[in-house]
Amino acid sequence: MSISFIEDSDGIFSMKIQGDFDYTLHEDFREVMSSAESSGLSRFTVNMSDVDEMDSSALGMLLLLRDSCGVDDRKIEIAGCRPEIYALFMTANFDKYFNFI
Amino acid sequence: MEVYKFILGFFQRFTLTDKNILFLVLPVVLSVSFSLYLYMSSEQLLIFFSVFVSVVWLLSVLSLLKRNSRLEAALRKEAMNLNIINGYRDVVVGFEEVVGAINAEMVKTENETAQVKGLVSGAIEGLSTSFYQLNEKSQEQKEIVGSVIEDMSSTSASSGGGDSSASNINEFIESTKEILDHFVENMVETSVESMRLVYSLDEMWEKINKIFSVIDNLHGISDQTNLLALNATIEAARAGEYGRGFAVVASEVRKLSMSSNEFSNDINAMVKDAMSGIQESRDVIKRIAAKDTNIVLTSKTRVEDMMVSIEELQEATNNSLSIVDDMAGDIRNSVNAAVTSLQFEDMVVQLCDHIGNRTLVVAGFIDEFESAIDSVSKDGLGMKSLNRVKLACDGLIENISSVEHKAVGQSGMGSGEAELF
Repeated sequence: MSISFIEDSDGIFSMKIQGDFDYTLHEDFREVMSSAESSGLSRFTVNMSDVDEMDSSALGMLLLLRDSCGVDDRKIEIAGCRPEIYALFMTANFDKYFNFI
Repeated sequence: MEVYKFILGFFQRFTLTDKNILFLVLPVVLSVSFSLYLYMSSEQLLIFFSVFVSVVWLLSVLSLLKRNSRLEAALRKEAMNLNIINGYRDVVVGFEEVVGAINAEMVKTENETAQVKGLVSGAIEGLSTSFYQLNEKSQEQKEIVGSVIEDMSSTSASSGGGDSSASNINEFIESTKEILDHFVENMVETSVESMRLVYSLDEMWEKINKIFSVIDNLHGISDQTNLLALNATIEAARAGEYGRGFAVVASEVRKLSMSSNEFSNDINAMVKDAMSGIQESRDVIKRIAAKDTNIVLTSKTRVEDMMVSIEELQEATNNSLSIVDDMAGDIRNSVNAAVTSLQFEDMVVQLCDHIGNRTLVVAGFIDEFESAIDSVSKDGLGMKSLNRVKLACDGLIENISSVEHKAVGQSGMGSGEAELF
């Protein structure tokens, strides 16, 4: 279970989460949030293709991320969700807050 | 020869009865006596008279012959008649037996016919009742099924059935969905706020953590102050009396630094307390923030599946209703056909009545015949009794043809008409 992120020169932030996206990642997540806050990012993508399970804290973390890094009118992108994860996002009405690809 | 045969035959025909003797002998005697008498008087007269007497005698003999032959014929006839009568007597005896047997059969036929009528009527009554009941029950069933399905069907809401089970079920499902949505919203909100709290507690933790290093610094300072005071005390002792005031100051400073150390320790302990309090809060928040999300998904899937199932159920029950409808119609048709078939009762009753009539007619004839035969036995075979028999036969034929005229000429249900009463 880990978070890694890449920031490239155009201000495009990519965050990749591996394993279970749960409470134990909250500290790492905050580090990413604070580094993203400080830089001038133009686009933020969360890569969920290797995420197995998600608990409710993940939902909270993502919304906090949106609060701090939500880029003006452009929403944060969430990519590569597995079907169960995607279903959970839809049940929680997350398509209102995020761009799903 | 011929003459001889004739005369012989002639005499053979005679049986010697009194009459014969009279007719034969009398004229001879008369003629002889008379001729003897006349012989006394004249010869011509005698010849004439004897001729006359012989002629008379011949005539009487001839008439006698005729009468004999007539008698013979009559005797022969009577002999024949006797044979016929004997024959008839045998026939009569035979007839009487036959009549007795026929009578017995007629009685049986009447009884059996009555039985048939009774059985058929009884059975048909029972069948009719059963068929009508069957139809009624089928209708009732159909209505019950219909009302159950209407109750369950969602379209009944439009017919004012706001309390139908279907609308209740649908309402229930809708409210379940709403509850689920609220629950999810709640969970997400709780998660956001609790994560926010987690992060602020983290910051607090870090900030308070920094106090420890400050306290370390304080410890360092008070240690150093202690050392300096010690040095000052030593210098003061070296300075002798002039240093006594200084030595007091130095020892006071030492005391101060020691209480400063104590205060630092107190602060340390308090801060540790606060830290453990924060840690407790962090643990609590963790439990609130990290909830298993599986139940959310399974609940939602369950509700959706339930809706699909209910739709399928409604469709199936609607199909069932139309099938039941058709069945009820089919049952009604079958019952009607059966009841129509039961109308054969009329025809059976009529036929039985006709059988009864025929039986009566035959019985009547048999009675007539019996009495005719009795009279034959009593009165002998005369024209009167024979006429009676003939009349009885004619009467029977008339009766039979009148019954035939009224008979129902049909063997099946599809054709013919029953006579109207």
